[in-house]
Amino acid sequence: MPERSLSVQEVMDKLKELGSRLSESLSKGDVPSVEHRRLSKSNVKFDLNQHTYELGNGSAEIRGDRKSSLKKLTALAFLTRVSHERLEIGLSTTKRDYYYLQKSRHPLLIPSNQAESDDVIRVAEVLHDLSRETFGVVAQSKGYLYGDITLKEPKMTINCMQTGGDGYSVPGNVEYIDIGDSNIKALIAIEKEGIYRNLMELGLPQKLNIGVAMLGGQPSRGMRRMLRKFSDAGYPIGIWTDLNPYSLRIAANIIYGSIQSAHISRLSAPNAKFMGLETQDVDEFFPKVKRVILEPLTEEDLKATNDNVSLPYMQGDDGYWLRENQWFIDNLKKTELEAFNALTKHARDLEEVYLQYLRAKTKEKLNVTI
Amino acid sequence: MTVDQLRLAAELEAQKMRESNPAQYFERNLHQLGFSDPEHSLLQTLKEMIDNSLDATELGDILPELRLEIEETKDEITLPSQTGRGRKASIYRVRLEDNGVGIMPDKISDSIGKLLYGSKLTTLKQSRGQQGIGISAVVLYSQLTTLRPTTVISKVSGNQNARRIVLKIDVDKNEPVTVEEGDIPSAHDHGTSIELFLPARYSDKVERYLKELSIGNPHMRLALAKRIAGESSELTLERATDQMPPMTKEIKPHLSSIDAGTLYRMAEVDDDCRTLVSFLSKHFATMSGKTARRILQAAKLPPNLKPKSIKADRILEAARNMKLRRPKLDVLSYIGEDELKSSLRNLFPDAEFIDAVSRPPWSYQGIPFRTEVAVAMGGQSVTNYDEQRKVTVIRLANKVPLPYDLSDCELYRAVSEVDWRNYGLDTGERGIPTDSVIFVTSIVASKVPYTSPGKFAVARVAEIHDELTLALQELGRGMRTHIQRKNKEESVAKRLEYFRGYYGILAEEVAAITGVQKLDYEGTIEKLFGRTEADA
Repeated sequence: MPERSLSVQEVMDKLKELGSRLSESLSKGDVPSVEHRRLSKSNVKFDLNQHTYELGNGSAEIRGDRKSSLKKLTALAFLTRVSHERLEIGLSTTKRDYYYLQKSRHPLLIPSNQAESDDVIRVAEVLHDLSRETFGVVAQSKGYLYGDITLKEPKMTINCMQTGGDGYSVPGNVEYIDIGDSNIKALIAIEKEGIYRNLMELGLPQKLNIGVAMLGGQPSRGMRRMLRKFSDAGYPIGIWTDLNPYSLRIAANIIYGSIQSAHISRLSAPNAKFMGLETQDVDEFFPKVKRVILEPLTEEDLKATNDNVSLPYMQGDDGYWLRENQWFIDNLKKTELEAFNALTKHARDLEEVYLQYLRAKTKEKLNVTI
Repeated sequence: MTVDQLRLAAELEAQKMRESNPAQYFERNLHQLGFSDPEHSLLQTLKEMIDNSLDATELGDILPELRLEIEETKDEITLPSQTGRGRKASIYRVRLEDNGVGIMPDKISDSIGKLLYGSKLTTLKQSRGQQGIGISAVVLYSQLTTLRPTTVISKVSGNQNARRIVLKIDVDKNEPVTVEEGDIPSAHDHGTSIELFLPARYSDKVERYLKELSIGNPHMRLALAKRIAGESSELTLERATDQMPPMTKEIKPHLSSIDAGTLYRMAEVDDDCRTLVSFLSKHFATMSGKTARRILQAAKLPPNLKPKSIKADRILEAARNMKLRRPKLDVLSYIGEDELKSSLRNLFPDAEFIDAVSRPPWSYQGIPFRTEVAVAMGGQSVTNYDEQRKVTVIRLANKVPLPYDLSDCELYRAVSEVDWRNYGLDTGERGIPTDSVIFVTSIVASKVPYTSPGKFAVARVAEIHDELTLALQELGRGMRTHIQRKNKEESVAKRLEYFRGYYGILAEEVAAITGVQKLDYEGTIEKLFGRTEADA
């Protein structure tokens, strides 16, 4: 059951609720305190059935009678007020903005570094069970969407093929954007810009009735939330990345979420599928150019590969991820999305190369015929 | 050199020694005795004059009432210096008036104008002037530098008038020379004033010296009127107690405190005793006839041997190998814990903590001594006392401050060797605390072991070191308790301030979110801290 996005008013009410609770404590002469799910790494679990990271049962208390947590409690009230105020007039905030706001509020509230004020934001997220974007603290925007997709922003409705440029630029805060009528069979999330643009230029999204998303490396929070919305709206999502140990992490980040954002369930798209490049693609799609496209694994790549082994999600999916990862250790090779170019003798060949791959993969991984 | 020449050289040296009288000796050695620079000279002069006055009041069981005048005159002289260029120094007039018993008119000249050998050969008594160069040396210094005489006015109780004598010293003869003499009327029943001139320089050290002196002599009242560089000012150090200090007692020396030479000389001048047994039991403390016989037996000397045939080395060795009883110890006039505390309170009215520890008497080498320590901590007056150092160690030897040779002095070293961190103080270089603290370390003794004839520093003697350390450790325990209590109080006050600060902001924020004007949080503060002063 897809979760309904909260309206701005609902979020503001939620913030106000915390204010009322604190206000009640103070009026009664009680010592205010706030309990929330503990955010430490040790309290993060990977649910192998649900395929998501989530917080365990550990809890933490920010108590008004403890010198150590009084600052955090006060900062939390401050952040809540600031967010409430800014939502009201439709003004967004970045983490860095908030750092400066807290710095200048009162000498007692000055954070020793941005990590301290970021932590207040994380506490607010877990406490209100809202992503920070919901209450206006937005992440950097990154990534594009293209295809016959209609998006309903609070102030306008947009079709992603009519934005010009590189497509619809996914903003930092997508919380209050809803997906409207869209004519796509699937959404393909692509790691790199070059291939995303080629697909646009070749008109493939229209021809195949698909949407394409450009991640630009690790996807932004906005993009992840957007993908979740597509997932919730029932669109099949395929993830298309390079073939290297980091790409596995990009895919996992979309599908399972991350340890850092384990407290925000709405940032992962569990129905999304890893489409490729996967290791079997090397023999299946690039047999003749195999030698050319495979590049040696660097020391860093190897380290990332070894680190991957112990990641929780690696243990799921019947060992699929572990097998993929093991290939890098065995072969000490990797390749990239740009390898498709090696399959062409003429520019006209590229469309066919992509078509062939996409048709095969969407069929295999998403069970979608395009 | 031939045999004759060698003999002649020895004879000439002996002749010189005979010719050298105390006045000549002091004339040559003034710099060693504290007259090395104008500032030091002034302090040394004050010391000698005040010592005399305090002794004169104690003789009559009188609470000392001293009036000191220090005036920088317009005259200057050039003092010889090592560079040969000479140093300019102002001539100061110093006058001290006391309410002591006074000096009999016919003894004034000799007691002020004649330098005496210390004649305390056979008795020991705690006194300020022990080994002292005495007032006469000051008179001599004054005369040698300024060429001016010294004026003494003294009156003893019962006399109609005071005697006024203006005198100089004949250095070659070590005799006073009277310049003027006559009787003058006096408003006082008894007392002495001495006025003299010397090249000097006034500094903060003078006031500190007088203050430190008042710590050692809490029954003293001293009024200082000074005129330096044309500026007049006054300072009165009130007495901290009306109680006279305990009287000191004269005691016989202990055999273990005597060297062989002294023993020979004592035997030489003794004409009364026929046997060594009676000689020893007569002249030495804790020495019964039985003990004397045991010593002589151990020294393999017949008990009826004549004193003049004494074998000093063998007797002293035998005495050392035998456990002699300690001397009687309650012969010392000490300052007292309460008196030390009152004095410090007088000087440092805003000190946060004042305490004193007086150790019971003990002895070293047969000489009774007693250590006392005191401390004043915190407060502006303590911090401001000596701007050059955070920690001041006020050293008193037989109640007289020691302003020089700090680091060579056991009274300082004992302080620096205590690990004050154990007592809650932060310490810096050389183990000296970095908090503002004033220590007083005092020793009274029948004979204080000084490091040099100038009496600037107390030498390290194991027994004294141990006693000082014990006293300081006891003092430290009190300091630690105080510091801990203070830290606790401070931390409660700080915590309250801290909580109020945050709750103030919290209440403002919560009020803003919920849309109310103002939110009271005092109930919560009260719940956390109980009723606070602000509520009361």
